[in-house]
Amino acid sequence: MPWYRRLMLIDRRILYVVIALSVAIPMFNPIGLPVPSDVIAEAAYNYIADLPAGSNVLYTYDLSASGMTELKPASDVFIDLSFQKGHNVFLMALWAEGNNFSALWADPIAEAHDAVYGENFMNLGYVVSYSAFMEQARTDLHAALNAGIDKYGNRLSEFPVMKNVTKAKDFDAVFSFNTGDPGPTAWIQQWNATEGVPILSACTSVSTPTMTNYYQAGLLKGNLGGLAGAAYAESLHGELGSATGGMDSQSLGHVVIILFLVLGNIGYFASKSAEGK
Amino acid sequence: MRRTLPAAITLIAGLIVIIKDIFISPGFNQLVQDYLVRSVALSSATAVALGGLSLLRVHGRRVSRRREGWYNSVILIGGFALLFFLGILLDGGHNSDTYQWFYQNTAVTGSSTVFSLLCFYIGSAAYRAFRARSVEAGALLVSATIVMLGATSIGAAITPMLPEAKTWIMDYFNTPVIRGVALGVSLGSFAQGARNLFGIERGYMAE
Repeated sequence: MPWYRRLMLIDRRILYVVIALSVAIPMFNPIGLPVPSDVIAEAAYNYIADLPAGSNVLYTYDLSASGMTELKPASDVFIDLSFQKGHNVFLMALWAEGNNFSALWADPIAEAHDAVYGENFMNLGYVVSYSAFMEQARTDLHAALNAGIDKYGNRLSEFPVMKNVTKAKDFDAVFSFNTGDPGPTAWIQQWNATEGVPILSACTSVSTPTMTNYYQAGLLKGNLGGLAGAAYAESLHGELGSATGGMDSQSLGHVVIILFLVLGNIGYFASKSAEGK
Repeated sequence: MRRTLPAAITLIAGLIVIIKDIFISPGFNQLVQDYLVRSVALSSATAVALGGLSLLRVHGRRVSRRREGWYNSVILIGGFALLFFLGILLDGGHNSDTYQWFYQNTAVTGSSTVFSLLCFYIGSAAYRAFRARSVEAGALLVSATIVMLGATSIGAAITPMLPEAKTWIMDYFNTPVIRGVALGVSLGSFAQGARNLFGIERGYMAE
């Protein structure tokens, strides 16, 4: 087989092994490449950082496990930021899987800040019908939340922090960690358009163009797009975590795929040239 | 009656929700919240339960008839039953440590693994399909390469122009196209809503 045909027909198992190595090696030996700046991620960080102490910030986990790598670092940064700034932190989920992640990711950070459940920290749980919840919560948040109970089955009225929030407008910001719909689109349509509640987002890379549209239209106050957005937020927060480490793996993975694209195209043009002769 | 009654219920319920936001009346609003909106939540919860039953029925039949891949259905039913009963029987339900341990080590790891396989499939598919066979394919190849490099740390390390070029491509090509698609989808959704409201579209009646 001529060399150019070989370039076009590299065994996929070789490709898989090279990609696996390029992603895995930087995880154990970080290269420490610089994180590219991101204006929209910076807008999100500054918006939450500028909210005064006592602001009510709702963090909503509209995600599945597939988005864990990209969204957990974003959650870590913003939950920590909110506690640092003295905000009242509320968690909830529009996705059933997100209900587990909200507690799993945020509770250790709340514990590190000595947050008291019910005083400056609440988990509102999962709502099964997001459109009905958002509609009802515009006027009666407590009734809309599973008939007035939190994630753990306690009555919301028992907790002092819930006196601060009785309707949608009482939230100073809603921040959605999302892997799809329902997510920021639903929050924008139901709470931003009708009640003027500011919405922010951290999404997977694939959703970034959609979120950029919302940001440019002024419907989102900021967005963290994928691992790169989360890594930039980590650098703004001054605590480099898994997103910054993951950027090395992502970088090398992209480079390997581009190298294979180049090899395939060299083979393609060489074969065309040989056939022309 | 089979057609008229569901169509009438849809029209009246839809109009009530629309009118509620036009003629603001706290009493009427409360009435809508208490009965109409809450009924949506109840019907959604019922649909989730029905979905679970349907899943068990489909996969139960596959196991009993030993259809191809029936053993996958056994694992699915086993996993479903395990998490279902743990959620009901354990103290603390789905918030208990035992439930969380099973959930994290089955559903979460499985889902993450499947998603991470995309990296290999996309790499392989891109290598085989991305050939500069025409000017358009060449432009796509070049822009994809710039965006892939510009979105990562290594692009900025090579030259600061790569992230800038990536932002330019995203802002002036990608984002406007997505905006156009979003507008089209929104207009389509609006038209679909109107068709449902006026009984022209009857797919939800299983017709």
